[in-house]
Amino acid sequence: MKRLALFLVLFSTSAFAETAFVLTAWVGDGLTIETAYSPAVTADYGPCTYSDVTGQPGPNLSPDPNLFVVRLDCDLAIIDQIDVDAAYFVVRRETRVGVPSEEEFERLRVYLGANADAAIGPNLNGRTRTVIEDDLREWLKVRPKMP
Amino acid sequence: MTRFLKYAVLAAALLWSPAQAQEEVQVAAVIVAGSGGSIGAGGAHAGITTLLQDNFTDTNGTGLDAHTMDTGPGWTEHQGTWTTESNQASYSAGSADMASAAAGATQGTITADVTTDASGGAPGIAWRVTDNDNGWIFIVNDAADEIRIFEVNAGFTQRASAAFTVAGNTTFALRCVISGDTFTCDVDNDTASINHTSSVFNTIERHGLFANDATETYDNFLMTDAT
Repeated sequence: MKRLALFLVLFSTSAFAETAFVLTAWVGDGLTIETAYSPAVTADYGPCTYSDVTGQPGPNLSPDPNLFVVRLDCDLAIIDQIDVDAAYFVVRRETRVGVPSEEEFERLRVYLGANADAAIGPNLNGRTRTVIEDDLREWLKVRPKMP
Repeated sequence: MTRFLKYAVLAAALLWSPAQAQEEVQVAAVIVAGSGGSIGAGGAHAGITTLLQDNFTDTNGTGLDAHTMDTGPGWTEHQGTWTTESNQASYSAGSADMASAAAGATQGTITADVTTDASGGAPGIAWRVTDNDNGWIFIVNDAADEIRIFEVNAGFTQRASAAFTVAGNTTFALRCVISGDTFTCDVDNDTASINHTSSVFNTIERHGLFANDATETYDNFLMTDAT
C-alpha cells in the first residue's frame, strides 16, 4: 500500500509536466517590480516555472528584435498551446529533440523575419534544435543595447 | 529522458524490485521529492562558516545602519527607512529598497524569514548589491502569487518565476544558494524553487534584504559560505 501511495504521489505531481525552450518578446518598462521587463509568454500562459536562458544583462535587452529565449516548465497541455501560438516559437521541447525538418527550420526563419540570416543562417546544415537554440542565444546576446 | 519516463522507471522499480533494491529506490525517491540540504537560521554546520548573521535584537526604532549585527560589519540602508521593531527588521517607508552588509565573499547560502504586510507586498533577500539600483533580488510576490528573481540593473528585469501562493501577514522562509554564476532560490523548504544563471555583478560581496512595501518585516538573516 505504501508503495502504491508513493507511486500515486510521484505521478500526480509531475507526470504531465514538460520543459520547453521558447522564443518570446519581453514586455514591461522595467521601472518597478510590478512593471519589470518579463517574458510575454508567461503573461499569456501559465502557471509555468520559467528562467531566462539568454543571459543578456538588463541594460542590454534588445529592442530589435525584441526577443529572448526562456526555459519553461509547464503542464504538457500549456506547452501544446504555446506550440501553436504564432506569437511564440518553441525551439525545442522535451518530447521534440534532434534535427528539425526543413519545414520547421523554415518556420523559424519566417518567425525571425529579417533577422533570420544573421541569427540562424540560411540553411539548416544538419544542426540539432539544441545547437540552433545555442546559436540564437549567442546572437541575441550581442544585439544593440536598449536606447 | 522525460521526467514522465524517469518517474515511470522509478515507480516500476518500486513496484517490482526485490526488497533490498526496493529500499535503495525508496531512498532515491526521497531525494527526488525532498528539499535538498539546508542550513537553518539557527547557525552553521561544522566546516561551514557564518559570513553574516542578524536576529535583529535591539531597541525598537533603532536604525538598521546603527544596529550591531550578530555577525558582520553592519548594515547599509541604501534607500528607505529600516529599523528594528519587536526584535525584527522593519521597513516602513519607500518602495523597492535594499539594505546590505559586506560579507567578504561573493557566494554562499542566504536565508531569512520575511513577513508580508496586510496587503501582501513583495519582501525578499538581495545579493551582489552595489547600491539601490544594482543587485539581484529574490522575492515572494503577493500580487502575482509567485516567487521571482529579478536583476536590478538600470531597471528591473524579471529573470525567473514560479507559482506560489502568497498571503498577507504571513512569514515565509526564503533561501538562495549563490554558487558561482548560478542562483538557486526556494521558499518554505523547497515548496517552490527557481534558478537562474548570470555573471552580472559576480564580483560584488554585499548581500542583504529587499523591501517593496511599508511594514514588511525580516528576521533570522543568515549567510554562510555553503554552496
